[in-house]
Amino acid sequence: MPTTTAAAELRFRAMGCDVHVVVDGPRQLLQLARDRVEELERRWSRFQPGSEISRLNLLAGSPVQVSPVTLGLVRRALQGARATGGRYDPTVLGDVLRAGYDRSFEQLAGHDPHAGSSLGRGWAEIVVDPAGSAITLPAGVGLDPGGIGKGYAADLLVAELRAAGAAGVCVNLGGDLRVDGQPPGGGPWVVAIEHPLRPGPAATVTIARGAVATSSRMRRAWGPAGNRRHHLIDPATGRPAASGLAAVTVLAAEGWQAEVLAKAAFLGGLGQGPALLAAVGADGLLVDDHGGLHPTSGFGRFTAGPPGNALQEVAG
Amino acid sequence: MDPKPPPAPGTLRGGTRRPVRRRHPAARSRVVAGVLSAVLFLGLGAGMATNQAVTPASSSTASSQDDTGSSSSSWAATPGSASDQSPMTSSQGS
Repeated sequence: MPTTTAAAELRFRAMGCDVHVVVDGPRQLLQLARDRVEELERRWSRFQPGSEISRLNLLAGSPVQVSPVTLGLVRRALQGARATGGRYDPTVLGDVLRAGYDRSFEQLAGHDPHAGSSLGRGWAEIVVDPAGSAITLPAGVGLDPGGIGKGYAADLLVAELRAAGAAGVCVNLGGDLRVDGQPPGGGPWVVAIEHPLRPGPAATVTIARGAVATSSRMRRAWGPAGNRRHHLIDPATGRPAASGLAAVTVLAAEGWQAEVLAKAAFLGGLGQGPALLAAVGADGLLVDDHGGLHPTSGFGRFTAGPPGNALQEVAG
Repeated sequence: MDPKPPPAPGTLRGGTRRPVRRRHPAARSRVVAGVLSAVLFLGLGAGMATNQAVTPASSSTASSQDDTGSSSSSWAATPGSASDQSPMTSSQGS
């Protein structure tokens, strides 16, 4: 098969979100990317009974052998929980189910579920056995790797596509994106950060290498007016968070880190979110419930550019 | 993905407990070499010992090349240069 080297991109649906892959390299890499995302979804979806995550949840209390890539996902989830002091908690599955998110989001739309669950939390008691490639969830605890799975999938794809010959890659899974190398046409990667409450971007950032992730209560929200719920669970209350923020976007070195930090900063609100990001050297943009923009002190390094390419001024 | 026996020492927990690492045979050899080098240093004097390379203690730990996540304390992204190009993709939240 002849190899075609050019800028190429592909959009498709997977992992319950829109996926966008941009490659500066052989066009055949796009199919490789799609196959890999779909394979990871089969491993990590909590909505597929045969996935490794479903098996872990089903057999909580017993060691379960998993693939190295799933072991890596769980280890990152635990690293994220430790780094954020438990604000990011990968074991809020029971709370998510009790909030009604008990099926894929496409099936949830227009539905007002009243699901129950007896699952509790307990990330600190998850046992990882690297030598045996096995994981043990505590009995009665469920794992929900939805967000971090997208971030880590972007990390994996970028590394693999670069190793396969791409000069530059951008992988975006529902707003969790990772970039590396040169974009087609040169220059930095330019990424718009959508405003959660208004049409158009809240900011446009340039990034040479790293990741961007946004957690928003406006996405993956369900239920009737007056009883709207969303997927960002506060482990302190077990309920959808009300932190005074509508969304948080984080720029970090890796996709899974950006995802973990975006969630944790969202839960921390304006009071603790910025400090949480500063503690690990990351930057971000917090958007409050009134649409006001609150960039971290280093966020301006990513928005430097000509007028119109920086942070958009928004009247609160 | 079959259920396995309970984990042995060396497994990791999600909490703050540190993993018990087994040193690789090569790492043990480096430790022994380091100790011998130190003995040579003390026994033969600094003049001779300048030719001995004492392995730092930190490098005697088995290198963890497995899938452990980030080892860096900084999670910072690298900013790009100024650009007037249009965004090629967007982060809208998940």
